Amino acid sequence: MSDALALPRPITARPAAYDRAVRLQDASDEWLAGRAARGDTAAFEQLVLRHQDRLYTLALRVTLNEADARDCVQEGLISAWRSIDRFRGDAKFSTWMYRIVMRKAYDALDKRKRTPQPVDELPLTVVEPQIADRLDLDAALAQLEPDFRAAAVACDVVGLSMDEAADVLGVPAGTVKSRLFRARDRLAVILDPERSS
Amino acid sequence: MTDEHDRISNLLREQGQAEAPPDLAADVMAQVRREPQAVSTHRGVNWRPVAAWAAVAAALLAVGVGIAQLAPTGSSSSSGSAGGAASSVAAEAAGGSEALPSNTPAPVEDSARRAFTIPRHEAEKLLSGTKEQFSMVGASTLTLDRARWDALKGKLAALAARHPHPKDPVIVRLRPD
Repeated sequence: MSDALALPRPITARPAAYDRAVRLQDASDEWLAGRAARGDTAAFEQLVLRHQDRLYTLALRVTLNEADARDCVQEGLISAWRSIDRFRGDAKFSTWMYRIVMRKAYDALDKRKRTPQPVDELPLTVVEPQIADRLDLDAALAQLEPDFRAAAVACDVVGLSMDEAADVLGVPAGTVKSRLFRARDRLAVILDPERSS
Repeated sequence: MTDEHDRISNLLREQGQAEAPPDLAADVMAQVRREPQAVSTHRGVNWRPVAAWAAVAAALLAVGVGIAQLAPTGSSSSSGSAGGAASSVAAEAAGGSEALPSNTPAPVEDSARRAFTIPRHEAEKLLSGTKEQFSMVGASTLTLDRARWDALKGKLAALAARHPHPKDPVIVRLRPD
C-alpha cells in the first residue's frame, strides 16, 4: 500500500558525489587550486589527472629517461601539493606546475651528470624500438644540449607560448626564442642531414 | 628554413607526446593523502607576519617603557638622572623657563620621591604667588629647586595620592643637582 502511494524520485535528484565529480571536472585549474589550498584532496586529484600526461611528456623529453621522468612528476606534484598555498594565480596553474617539474628535470640531469651510469641504463633504453620515427626523434633530442632541448620540448612538444616557456625555464622570452631556433636547426640536421646540407 | 623549422615543430608535436604511467596518479594521491594534516595546519593561519608584528610591538613597548622610566624623573639609574638633567637644561636654554614643554606627560611618581604627577589646577593653587606659577603656563613639567621641593614635597605627595590619574596633569619634580 505504501509502495503504491510512494512518489517517484525526481529526475533531478542525483547523488551529491555525482554532482561534485561533475563540478570538479568542469572547474577551472585556478578554482581547483584554490580548493586544494584549503586541503581538498579531490580537487587536487582532478588537477593531477588533468595534467599528468603533459607533465610526464615534459619530464620524459627533457630527461630522456622514464624512471627519472616519473620521479620528476611525482616529486613535482607532491611539492605542488605542499606549497599550493603559495600559488598566487598571477600565472596559469599549468605553467606553475611545468615550472616545478622542469626544475626537477634539470635536477635529475645534474644528478645524472654527477653520477655516471652503467651503459645499460643510458637514456636511449627508454625509446620504443618498434617506432622508427620516434627512435629517431628521441635520439636526436638526446644530442641537443639540455637548454636547447628544454626550449624545444616546452614550445613544440608541450605547446607552450614563448612567454609561458620563458616563465617555465626562468629565462627571458628572447632567450627561449633563440634556443628554440637553434634547437630546430640542429634537429633538422640530425634528422635529415642530406636535406639540410 | 622556415619550412624546415615548421616540419621539425610538427614532428615534435606529433611524435613527442607521451602518456603518464597508469599508476602515477594513484601513487601521487596516496602520498598526498598521507599528509593532509600537515597541509591544513600549514594553511590555517600564516603565523610568520603575526610573529613579525608581535616582535615589533614588543620592541616598541620595551622602548616606550624605557622612555617612560627615564624621561620625567631620571631617578632610577645614572643614565636616567642624566636624561632628566639634560631635559631641564634644554628647557632653560630654550626660554629661561624651568618648565619643559610636552603635550602628554605620563603620570609618573618615582620611587625616590623626586617627582609627582598632580592635577594642573592643584599645582596652580599650590604654587600661587611664586615664580614657578608663571613658568607653568602651557608646560607639562615643572622643576623646583631643592628648598622649594623640600617645602612642598609632602603636599605634592598627598595630591599625587589623591589624584592618581589626573585629567590635566603636570609633573612637578626636583631639579637635578
